Amino acid sequence: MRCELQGADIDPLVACLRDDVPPLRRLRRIAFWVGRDSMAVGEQANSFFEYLNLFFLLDATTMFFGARELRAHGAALLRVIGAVGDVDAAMSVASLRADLQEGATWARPRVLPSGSPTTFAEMQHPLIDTARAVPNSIALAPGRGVLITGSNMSGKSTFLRTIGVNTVLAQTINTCFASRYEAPVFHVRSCIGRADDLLAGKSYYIAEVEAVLALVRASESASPHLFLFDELFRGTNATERIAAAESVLRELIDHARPHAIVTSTHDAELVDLLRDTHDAYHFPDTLSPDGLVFTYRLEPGPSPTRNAIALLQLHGAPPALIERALRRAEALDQRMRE
Amino acid sequence: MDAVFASLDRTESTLGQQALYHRLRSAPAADHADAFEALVTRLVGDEALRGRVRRVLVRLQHPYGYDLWWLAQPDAIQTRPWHVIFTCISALAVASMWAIPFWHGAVLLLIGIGVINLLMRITTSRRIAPLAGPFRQLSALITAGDALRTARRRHRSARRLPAR
Repeated sequence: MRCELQGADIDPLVACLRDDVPPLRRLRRIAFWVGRDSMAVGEQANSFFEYLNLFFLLDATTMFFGARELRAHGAALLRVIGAVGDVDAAMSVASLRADLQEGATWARPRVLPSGSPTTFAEMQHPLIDTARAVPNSIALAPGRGVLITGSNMSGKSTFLRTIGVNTVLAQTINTCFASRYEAPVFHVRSCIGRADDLLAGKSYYIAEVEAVLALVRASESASPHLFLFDELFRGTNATERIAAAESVLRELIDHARPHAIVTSTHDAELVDLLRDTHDAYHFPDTLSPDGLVFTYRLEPGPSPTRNAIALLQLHGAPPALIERALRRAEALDQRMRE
Repeated sequence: MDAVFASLDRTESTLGQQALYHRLRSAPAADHADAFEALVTRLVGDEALRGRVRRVLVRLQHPYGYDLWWLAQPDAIQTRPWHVIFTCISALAVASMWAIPFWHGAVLLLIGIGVINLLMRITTSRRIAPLAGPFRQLSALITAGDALRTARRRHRSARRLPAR
C-alpha cells in the first residue's frame, strides 16, 4: 500500500514521511561514509573520499553495516522513495499547468460513467507548438465509430495521436490539452505507425494483422476501450483492404460494448460501406500552384477532394503519365460504381 | 509517449522522473488520482512551499538515483560472515595510524594495509561499484525525506512571522 497518496491534502503524505524517515537516519549516517557523488560535492571532495577509501576500505565496511539496515528498513525506504517521487511528479504537473496558463489551452478532465458519450473540445497535441497548433473538437457516441478521411499530410494521423495522448494524460496526470474533456475511463489501444519487423521476419501486413487481431480480442472486454486505427491494412491490395477493414470495424461495433472507435482512411468506399455505423469527418485541402494547402481543421462529412494525381503533376511528372493515370482512375471509379 | 514525457517532464529529481513516467504509463488510469490532484493543487497554490520542495529535490539528480528502489529490495546487498574482515582491516588501519607517533614501524604496517586494501578493492570492485553509486544517493534521499517531512510545518511557522 502506497500510504503517501491518500486523502485530499499533503497531510497524509507528510504523516507517512514522519513515520518512515526517523528509522532511516542511522542508514543515512552509515551512507555518509561511502562518499558522495561528484555532482553533489565536487571532484576534490570526491578524490579525498577515494584516498580515505584506499586506507580504510570505507565502501566495503559501509556496505557490510548498511546491508543490515536495508534489510530492517527496506519497506520504509521504498515508501520514502515513493513519497519523494510523487511529490516531485506533482511539482512537475503543477509547473506544467503554470506554464500552460501562459499559452496553450488545458483542462481537467471530467470522468463520466462507462457508456457515456465522449466530448473532446479544442484538443491539440502537446508536442505541437501552441502558435502553430490547430485545435479540433469531436464527439464520440457510444455504439458508433468515426471515420476520418483526407489527403496525406492533412493531419489525420496527428489527430489520432492527439486523441490518444490526451486521453492518457487525462487519465494519469488529470491534465489534458483541450478546452473540454468529458469521457469515461478508456483503455487506449492503437494501431498507428506500424512497420515491418525484419528481425522477426514479419512483413508489414503480417505485423499489422497481428496488431489488429489483438485489438479485436481486446474489444470483447466489457470495460470501455478507445480504439485508434490509422489506415487499416494499407499493406495489402485495395479490394481486400476495404473488405477486411469494414469487417474489423463492424466486429468492434457489433460487440455492443462501450468502446469508442476512430479510424483514418483514404478509402471513400469504406465510408460508404460503414455509413450506418460510422460518422464521417475529413480534413480539407485545396490545390494551389504552390502545392496542397491544408487547414488542419476537422470538418463533418467525407473528403470531397482527391489529390494524389494532381500532386504528381505538381511535382513535375510527364504529361503522358498524368493523362494515363487520370484515364485509369476514371475507369476504376466506373467499375466501382457498377 | 516517450517524446510526450520528455516534453512535459519538469521534475527535479530522478525519483520524480521515475514516478511521473510510471504514472504516465499506468493503464488505464493512474492510482490515487484524487489524492494526486489534491497534491498538485496544493503545490500550484503555494509558491513558497514549491520553492522549498524544489531546493530539496535538486540534490537527487544523479542517475544512480534510478537504482535506489533496487537497494530497498530484500537482500539487495548480500553479506557473508567473513565480510567482517573488511571492518577488522579498517580498524587495524585506524589503529596503526594512531600508533605512528609512538611506534614508527606502524608506517610500514599502514603501507602494508594500504596494499592489501588496494588488492581487495580491485577484487571486489566489480561487486561493490554498482552498489556504491545508489548507496551514495541514500543520504540525499533521506535528507530530502526529512526536509519534506517538515516542509509544511516550517512553512506555516514562516507564514506567522510578521512581514517586514
